[in-house]
Amino acid sequence: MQISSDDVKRLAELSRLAFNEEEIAQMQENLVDMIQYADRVNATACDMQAKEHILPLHNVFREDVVQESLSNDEALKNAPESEEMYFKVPQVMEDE
Amino acid sequence: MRLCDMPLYQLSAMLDEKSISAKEIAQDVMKRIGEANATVGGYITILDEKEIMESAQKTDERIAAGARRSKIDGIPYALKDNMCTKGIRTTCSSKLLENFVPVYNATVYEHLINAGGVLVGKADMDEFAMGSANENSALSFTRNPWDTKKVAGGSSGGSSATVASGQAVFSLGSDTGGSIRLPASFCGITGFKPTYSAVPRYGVIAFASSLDQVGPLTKDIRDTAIVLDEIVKYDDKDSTSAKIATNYAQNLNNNIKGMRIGVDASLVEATDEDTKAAVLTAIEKFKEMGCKIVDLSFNHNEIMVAAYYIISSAEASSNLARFDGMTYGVRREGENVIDTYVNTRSWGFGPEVKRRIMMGTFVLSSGYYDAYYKKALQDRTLIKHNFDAAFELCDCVLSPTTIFTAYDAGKKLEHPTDAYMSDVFTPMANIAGLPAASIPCGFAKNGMPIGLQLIGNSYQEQTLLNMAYAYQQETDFHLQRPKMTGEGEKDEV
Repeated sequence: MQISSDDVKRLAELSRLAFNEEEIAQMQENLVDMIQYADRVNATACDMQAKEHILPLHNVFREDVVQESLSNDEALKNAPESEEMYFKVPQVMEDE
Repeated sequence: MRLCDMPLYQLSAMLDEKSISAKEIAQDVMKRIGEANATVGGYITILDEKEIMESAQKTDERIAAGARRSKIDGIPYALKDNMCTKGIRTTCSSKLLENFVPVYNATVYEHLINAGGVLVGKADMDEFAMGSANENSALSFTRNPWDTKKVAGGSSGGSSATVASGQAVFSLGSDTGGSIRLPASFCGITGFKPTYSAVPRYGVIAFASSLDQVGPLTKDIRDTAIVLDEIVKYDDKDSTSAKIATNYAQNLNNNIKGMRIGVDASLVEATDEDTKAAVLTAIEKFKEMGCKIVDLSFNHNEIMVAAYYIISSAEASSNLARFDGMTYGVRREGENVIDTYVNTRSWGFGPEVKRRIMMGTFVLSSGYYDAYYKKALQDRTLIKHNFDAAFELCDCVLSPTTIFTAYDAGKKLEHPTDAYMSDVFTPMANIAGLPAASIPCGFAKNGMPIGLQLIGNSYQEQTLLNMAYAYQQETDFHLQRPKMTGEGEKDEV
């Protein structure tokens, strides 16, 4: 399995991570190594059903009742930035 | 023996007899932290002495009033730093969360508060629980109490080293692919990963949600049973939580005659000389106790670890997407919102975490999903199927916990996957959701502890506890303690 430096850049973009050129080369080497290791899953011909989860659970519901929740102050306690009763984040929508 | 080196069940009995106070236990544990924390490490946050003593004082008041809450009441313990503790910093050993103070409690912590346990501190770990030597901690350090030049194992390295060195009487760790059992093995203590769904995960910061499970690290399997009785409880805040009636400590017994133990000889053969000898001796011991050995031959040994790294990295890449610097944690501003995400994450995550996120993103990306992620999930079904078949023939599966004993800290690895070699026997229990224990079964020639792994069928915790209990009745490996500096002044009990 070949991984190019462009592949690494694309994965980094999807992962919301940035690397400098040196780190990209390092990551490329690491990923090749890890993917080579991961290729072992193809060592056996296994055509069983894929299982995301080991438990035979379906649709776990609970009653929809109003319960005590965090206060506004508590919810904002760890906010890097807040204003009045809101989280303050960088502008998301582009200007016209 | 110092109080801080005693097992929980013994301290609990002494508290009931009123021959010691909870404050005396807490004082001795604090004293040991003073002696060992500079060399062994193991904590990210240690609570204020005043706070710890107040908590112990409350136990003493309850005991005086004849209202002790549980066998844990008054016992000092540590929590892995991925479990949310209201008002106490919870970091996952990451720079990204170095300022994060939860506003709610993990359910497991809530249970230990209700039981009257005395929280001493938050234990060090590999960042976001990714690692097997505790060398990926961004905020603290942890070394092996048996030889501080060596690693403690990971990712619950702090939870393990603090207990092994008497800086806590017991601890909780989390186990995604061996993260309780591996450090327990390296540090010569007892570690237990319950059946997936047995212990609530609410408030435990997720690594790989379909594999993560919280469990105890203790000095004795009796302690394990006591702690499990407090934390194996249904929680409506965890949609995977199971409803199980438990009375593990009460039902503990050492009559294991006629139990059938499955052994895949190729796993024993794969270990170093000392480990192999110790595990073979343990098998003989079980035979002497009337157990029957059943030969197993798993066809998943080759694929299992690869499947584990694919599944866990995929889930991690998704779980860790939430760390974006918007509502909590550290934020590193950029020119726009996307730049801020990228700056925050690139600054905050360490190299191993970034590698796993990148790997997870790769196996989930279009074009590779079927070849890797879906294939790993099929292998998961195969592994579960193999264990179902094995448990038709035997009551538990025995193997070494690790291939080798604790190695030198700071060892340079040529490939990141070399570190994954420590994990070759443990992830199968996570993949199949099964309960598994690591118990001390000997020492290597260099004095480092060796661990024995026992895997049980789903919800058969009691079987594993009884097997381990019977073994610990016949052996004394779990009674050995590493020599701590500053030892031997007083406190003979």
